[in-house]
Amino acid sequence: MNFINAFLLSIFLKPAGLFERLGVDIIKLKSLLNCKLIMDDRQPFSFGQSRQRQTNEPVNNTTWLALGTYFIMGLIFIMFFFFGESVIVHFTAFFSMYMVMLTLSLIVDFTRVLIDVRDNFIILPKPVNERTFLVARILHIAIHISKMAIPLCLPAAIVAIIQHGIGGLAAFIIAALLSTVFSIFLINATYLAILHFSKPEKFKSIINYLQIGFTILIFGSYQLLPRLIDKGVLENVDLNGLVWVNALPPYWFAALWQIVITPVWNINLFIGAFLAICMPVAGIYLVVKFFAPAFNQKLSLISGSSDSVPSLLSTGKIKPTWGDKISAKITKPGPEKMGFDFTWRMMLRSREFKMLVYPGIGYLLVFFVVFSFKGDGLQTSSYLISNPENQIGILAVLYSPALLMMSATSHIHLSQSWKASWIYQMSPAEKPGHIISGSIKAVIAQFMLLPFLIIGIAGIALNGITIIPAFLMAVAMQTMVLYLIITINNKSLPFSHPITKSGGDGTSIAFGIMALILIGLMALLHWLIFSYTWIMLAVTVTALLITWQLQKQIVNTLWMKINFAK
Amino acid sequence: MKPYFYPMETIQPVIEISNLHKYYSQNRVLKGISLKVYPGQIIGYIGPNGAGKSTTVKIICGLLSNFEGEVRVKGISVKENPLAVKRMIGYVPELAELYEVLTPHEFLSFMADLYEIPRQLAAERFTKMLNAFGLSNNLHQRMETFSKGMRQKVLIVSGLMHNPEVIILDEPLSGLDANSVIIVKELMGKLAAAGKTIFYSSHMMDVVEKISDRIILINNGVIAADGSIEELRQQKGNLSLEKIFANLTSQGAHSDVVDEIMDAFDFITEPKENAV
Repeated sequence: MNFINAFLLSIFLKPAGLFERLGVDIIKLKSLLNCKLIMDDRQPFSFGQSRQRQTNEPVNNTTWLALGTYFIMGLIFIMFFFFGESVIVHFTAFFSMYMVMLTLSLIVDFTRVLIDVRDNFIILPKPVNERTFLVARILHIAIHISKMAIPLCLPAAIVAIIQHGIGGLAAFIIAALLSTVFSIFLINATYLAILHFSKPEKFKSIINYLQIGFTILIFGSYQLLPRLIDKGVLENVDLNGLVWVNALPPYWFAALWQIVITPVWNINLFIGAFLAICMPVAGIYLVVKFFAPAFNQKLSLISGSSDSVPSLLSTGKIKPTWGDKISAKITKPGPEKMGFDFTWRMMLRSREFKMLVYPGIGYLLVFFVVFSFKGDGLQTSSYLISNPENQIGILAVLYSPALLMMSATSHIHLSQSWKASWIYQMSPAEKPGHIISGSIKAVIAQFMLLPFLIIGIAGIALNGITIIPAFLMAVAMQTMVLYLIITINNKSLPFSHPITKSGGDGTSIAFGIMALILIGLMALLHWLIFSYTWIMLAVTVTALLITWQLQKQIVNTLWMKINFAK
Repeated sequence: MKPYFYPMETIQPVIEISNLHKYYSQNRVLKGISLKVYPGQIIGYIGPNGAGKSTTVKIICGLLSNFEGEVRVKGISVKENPLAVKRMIGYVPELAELYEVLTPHEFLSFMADLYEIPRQLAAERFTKMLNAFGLSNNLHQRMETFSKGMRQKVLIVSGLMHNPEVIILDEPLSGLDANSVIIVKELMGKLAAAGKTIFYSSHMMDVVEKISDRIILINNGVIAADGSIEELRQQKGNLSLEKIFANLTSQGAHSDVVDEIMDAFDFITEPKENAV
């Protein structure tokens, strides 16, 4: 165990006498915590780690990695302190970032690290009394939270002491503690809400969606916040004067801090400070009195008790999905249709695939929002084809679906249950290429159809039919690049390779880079001939012919050319 | 074969279950189980999936507390003093549940702490046991890369390390290779001869038939048969345990199921293969 864990453990075990009086067995408590902390140190680090690792390489020193990352985040949080004069704005911004960070990381960590269902099989059959087990769990959570809270708050605490002296530090520590307690209450409430409204089996998927949302949110906020600061939005806000300001919990803790350090007479400020003290206390009361018992009971359901019986499905007729409708139109029955239907469903249901691909979609949306809001807002005039200066912007939009499609294609051969791909090798299908061809069509249908539809409709609405040649060429070029990449690079059947450390494997990175370069080249070519409609149409037709040839080639792929995982 | 009915006055039963009922919400899983288990017995506890086997095991181990009826281990009530009971029991769960980021050495040391075995003594014991299982080179290797059989061996060691009076095993042979199966089977015999009581739940009828002194078959939450294999044969006709099990637990005859499966091929109408 590293010395940070050992140090925190010794701090939290200081009230050993008190624990003993509560009926806790100190030696067992220590042993349990030791065990848990060593395990923490070997769990992959959760932050930004939306991709699940699966590697033979053991994970080490997660604690140090986590501490370092949180400290750097803490440094980023204090950048607000250097803009404008308003102390309340600084601290509201800080507590917002801090609480969002803490809440979202803990939501993920709670099931993954802190409440381990294996405890039921491993620790509970051993002679450990309930008090010891409970105290071990609470201390483990407390140590875990301190390992996040301390590095996140450390930079701000240093600023507080420099700007406002020891008093400033003391007030900050109190405010930070209260905000931490309140965040824990929020997590508890979220968990119970999720468990109340969803089935335990769905719980893990919901946590995963939260994780994806969390990654996108962090990414988005680091894109948007510097822009807000740039525009001086934050400097000019009079927070204390806003009527609804107390609807923002981070404001309470900032208000408490300000009241202690530089009191000003303002009713909102007093309400905020009051809430900062009351709400965490009320929250803790609720957690201890009502939430915790319900929480433990519900959590035991997540593990899925072996005595549960799968519910009977209704035996009515199965409604064809969108995927079925599309596959009936664009695939041949047999292996190609299988490839389509299988890939379509796996992309929608496989947790790992979604974790690998969906954050990318989120990033793309964030980029769109960030770059669309030039100046004062979204300006449709910058997407009018009549002005030659807009060409690059229009091309950027037309070629953006390529990123989605590339992200999806570079991951469809990966799966945690890759061993199930023995079924391909056993199948008597003559040309495995049909399966690959079907899966490419599924990617196009699931990831390109809708974006192109939206872009096409928006483009026609803005520009009328003049946009159509450019639009068609963009669609044809991207489809061609997709087929080209697969032909050159990736002769793997869908979901037949293990997921490795980086989330993908070496080929998927090379694949991505190559795809980007090719897409860039195509877009450049497009830009050069943008003004010549007939040339664009000719290129479109050529690209479609090439795509058709490539498709034939992929279909004819032989078994010996297929990559299988070793 | 040891007799399993000891004179009641002379020997106290190790496990004594009387009129045990257990509900999961509306679902009644156990409907009045009563049995007595005496020292030195190997009990094969069998039944179809969902019959209530793991529930019984969890109750004896003190993992489930809200049940009706009385469960005593060496005279101590599980309800009143679960800790004292847990101290006497060695439990090997199925599914090879353990903390795989730890090494066997770390895992077993922590488990030893929970049983209050001094670390030194524990280390000596589990090193010897793991050596015997052929895991001497894996003592300081994380269990992430272990096969199911290797994990099962670590779990067996963790269940035996504190020298328990009662050993409860849930499918202990799953994932083990043929040699390890022989070792574990012989080990169970030796432990029983040393006066330990073994409560062994499994689906492997041939193993249960061979090693159990007494077989308890539960079905739908009640005991459907109880006795040594010889006694069961006398009662149910001279059949194998597999057949006795099938007769007592399946609703329809197995041959009907097989016929239905074969019917799916529709032999009469199917054209001959390679006819073209």
